[in-house]
Amino acid sequence: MNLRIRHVSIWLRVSAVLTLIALALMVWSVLVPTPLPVMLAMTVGQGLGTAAFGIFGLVVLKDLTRSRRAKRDSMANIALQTIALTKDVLARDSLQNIALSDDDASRDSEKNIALTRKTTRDSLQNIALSKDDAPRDSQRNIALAKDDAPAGRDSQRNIATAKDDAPAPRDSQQTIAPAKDDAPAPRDSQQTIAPAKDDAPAPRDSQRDIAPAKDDAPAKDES
Amino acid sequence: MGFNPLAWITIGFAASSAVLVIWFLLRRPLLTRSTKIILLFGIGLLPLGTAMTGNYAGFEATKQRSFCGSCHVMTPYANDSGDPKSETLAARHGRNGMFGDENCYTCHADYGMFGTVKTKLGGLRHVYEYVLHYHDMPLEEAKRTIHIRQPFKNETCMHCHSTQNPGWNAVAEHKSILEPVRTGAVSCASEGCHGPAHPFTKNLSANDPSTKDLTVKGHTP
Repeated sequence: MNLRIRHVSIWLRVSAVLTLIALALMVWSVLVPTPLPVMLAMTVGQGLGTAAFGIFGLVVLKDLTRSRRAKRDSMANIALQTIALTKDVLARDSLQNIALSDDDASRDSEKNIALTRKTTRDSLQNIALSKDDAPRDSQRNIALAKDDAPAGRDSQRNIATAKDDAPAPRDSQQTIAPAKDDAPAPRDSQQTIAPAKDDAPAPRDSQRDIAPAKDDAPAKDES
Repeated sequence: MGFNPLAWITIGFAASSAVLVIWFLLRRPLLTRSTKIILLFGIGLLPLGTAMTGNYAGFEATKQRSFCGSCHVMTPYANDSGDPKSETLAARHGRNGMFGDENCYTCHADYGMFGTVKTKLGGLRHVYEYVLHYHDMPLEEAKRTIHIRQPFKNETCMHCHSTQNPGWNAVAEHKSILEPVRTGAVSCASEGCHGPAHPFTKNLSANDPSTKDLTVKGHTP
């Protein structure tokens, strides 16, 4: 690279020197317009100037070509490096993934196996516990049931007292009866309806008449 | 010779170019884009301008009588044509403003389609002959030996004297030899007509047998 740059600079210096010679000839021909300077300027000067410009053009063209090639090569190298890096990274990642998946899978499977073992152990424990607890609980329940037998007695007693007292049905009937007698809501409703039915009082009276009839029917009950 | 403004432009271009080129030679900068652009001006564009204006100035300079007389063998011809007291044909034309300081070129130029190019090529031949044969030749010897390479054409005279002007035709000699003059059979500059343009060489060459074969009938150098 250094050699190339030095080579380029040498050619450029040659071109610059040729340009200076050509310029000197041209200026000489202008300042001293005699045959020799004019002839030299129009022949040698022209040739040297053209050669200098040609060398400069070639050097620049070469430099441009070299820089473009270098840029292209660098781009290609970058692309190749990128591809290589990508390959490496992908390969490393895939290997890591494989290793990780192996580790995870084995760890997970071991964990799952452990969990399964635990589950089975728990279930066995549960079974054992249920085996142990169920007879005891049932016996306890039976015992409790036996112990709570007075409740049955109480219930019999309650039944007996209920039979003895028996006011509740009567009260209930009594409570029913005034309800039937009072029956304010239906009456009112009927009252409110009644005006629409031209104040038909007859049904109210008939119901009141019925109620004493029910209350007043002890003869039948007693009989 | 008056200093041509074109010469100033040429010198300006050359000086600018030289400054850039010398800067490059002394500083030796890296070949960056700016250096290339500077060198494009220093080696390419400014020298191109120098060449264009310099060549034009050079071509203009080659038309000058002083340029022709810069070779020692041409000094008598240039001095005579520029002498205001001379009665030679060349001197009389030289006093005409249409010819002026370029009277050598005006008379000896070829006025054909490629006249300028042929004239310049003829000038190159003059330089070649001078450098190789006449550079060290004594003036007196050169006066005897130097001669025009081809007969002087009447067409050159007819470039201004058209032979159709009534005043020209009113001259009896012109009217009598009108056709030979137009065809070039009789030279305008022949003895008995207008005479040789540079007569101071004729007496010498007439007595010199080495130049007899160079003198064409009806034409004089």
